[in-house]
Amino acid sequence: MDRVISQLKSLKAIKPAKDWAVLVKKDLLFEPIELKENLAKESFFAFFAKPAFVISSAVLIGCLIMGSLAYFGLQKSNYDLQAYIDSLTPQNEQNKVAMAGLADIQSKMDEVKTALEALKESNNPRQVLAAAEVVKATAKNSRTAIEQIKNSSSDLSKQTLASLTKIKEASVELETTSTDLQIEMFKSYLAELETKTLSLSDQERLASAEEYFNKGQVDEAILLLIKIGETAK
Amino acid sequence: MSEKANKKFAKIYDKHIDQIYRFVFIKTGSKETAEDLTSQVFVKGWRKFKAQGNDIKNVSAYLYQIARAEIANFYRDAAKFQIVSTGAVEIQDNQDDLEMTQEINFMGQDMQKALRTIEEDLQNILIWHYVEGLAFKEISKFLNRPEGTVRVMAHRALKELREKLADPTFGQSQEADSGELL
Repeated sequence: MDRVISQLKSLKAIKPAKDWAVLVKKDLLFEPIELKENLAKESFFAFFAKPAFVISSAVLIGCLIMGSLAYFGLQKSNYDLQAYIDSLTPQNEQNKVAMAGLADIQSKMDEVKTALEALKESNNPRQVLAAAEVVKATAKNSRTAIEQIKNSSSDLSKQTLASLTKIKEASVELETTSTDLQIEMFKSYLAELETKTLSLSDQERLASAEEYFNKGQVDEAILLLIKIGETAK
Repeated sequence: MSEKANKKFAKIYDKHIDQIYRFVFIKTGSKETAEDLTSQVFVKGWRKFKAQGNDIKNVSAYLYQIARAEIANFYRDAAKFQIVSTGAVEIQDNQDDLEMTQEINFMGQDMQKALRTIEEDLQNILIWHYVEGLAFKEISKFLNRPEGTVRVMAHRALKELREKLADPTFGQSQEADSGELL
């Protein structure tokens, strides 16, 4: 092939940063992002993105949330997934499906927790802020998914319904905790950025981020801050 | 806005984000500028999408049209032009993009610089056809020109590009004059 054409074709490798693209999409459409891109480890989100069964996906979300709770160091999580698995009996077809899925889910738990622990070690505030945003979006998604499952399935056992409710409560708790963590990180990172040399456009973003934060619009403030971090010197 | 509209545009976004970013990056040579302008393209695309009842006839063409306008505005509105040595300009990327950046740095910088020196329509044809793999028929719709004309332009563009890259003084003059628009 002609060398110049070959070099032109090689420019196809130019791609945007994954976390940037994901956050721009979220910012644009103002809704929880699909978990296609992994901010910490690819397998972590690939696992979440492929639930085996409808009811199992709710429990998958529960696993993700449990791992997230461990990451955020929550002390008071009273939702014990293993106990839930042990307590399930095959009362009906849907519960049988859930049990079959859970065996696979349980084996993934370590991978989820390991990935979250790796993120915990991250010293990149942008990455942590962005990851917390994804976890928050996950929690919000799970609440919606659980409501849909509860509304669409009439044959779920009382036990399963109770467990779904617990997962939903854990989701709400996780969303609140993620937001609290983000607020703390935002304040700390904002203070750090104010000591850095920033370009004109980044200075404008910093000012806007502070303004949004003061108005209580934390999501918008964080999205602006994340954009600044990569160019600050 | 309805969930259906959001989902539909989300698919459009997913399909085009890499292409539009790449187009802007090649034409501006700056990651930060590419991110700024690309996000503007999709903000405007989304507004148009909603205004036209969740539909745009030729989405690719429309997004590229906005991108071209944003790039033109960017160069026109630049308040300052600071000349720096390209050796001092460090392309910063997060760890995930490091491998891609190193590859592009090694192979692509001269090519990108050479592209930016030829006429805009010719640049675009080369990017759309050789980088993005678009057929001349589709490109002819973007440019609103006959397909035959686009083929001739592509041939001319390649010839110009080859001449630029073969010119032994090309790299030297780029080092002297290249800069980053602030």
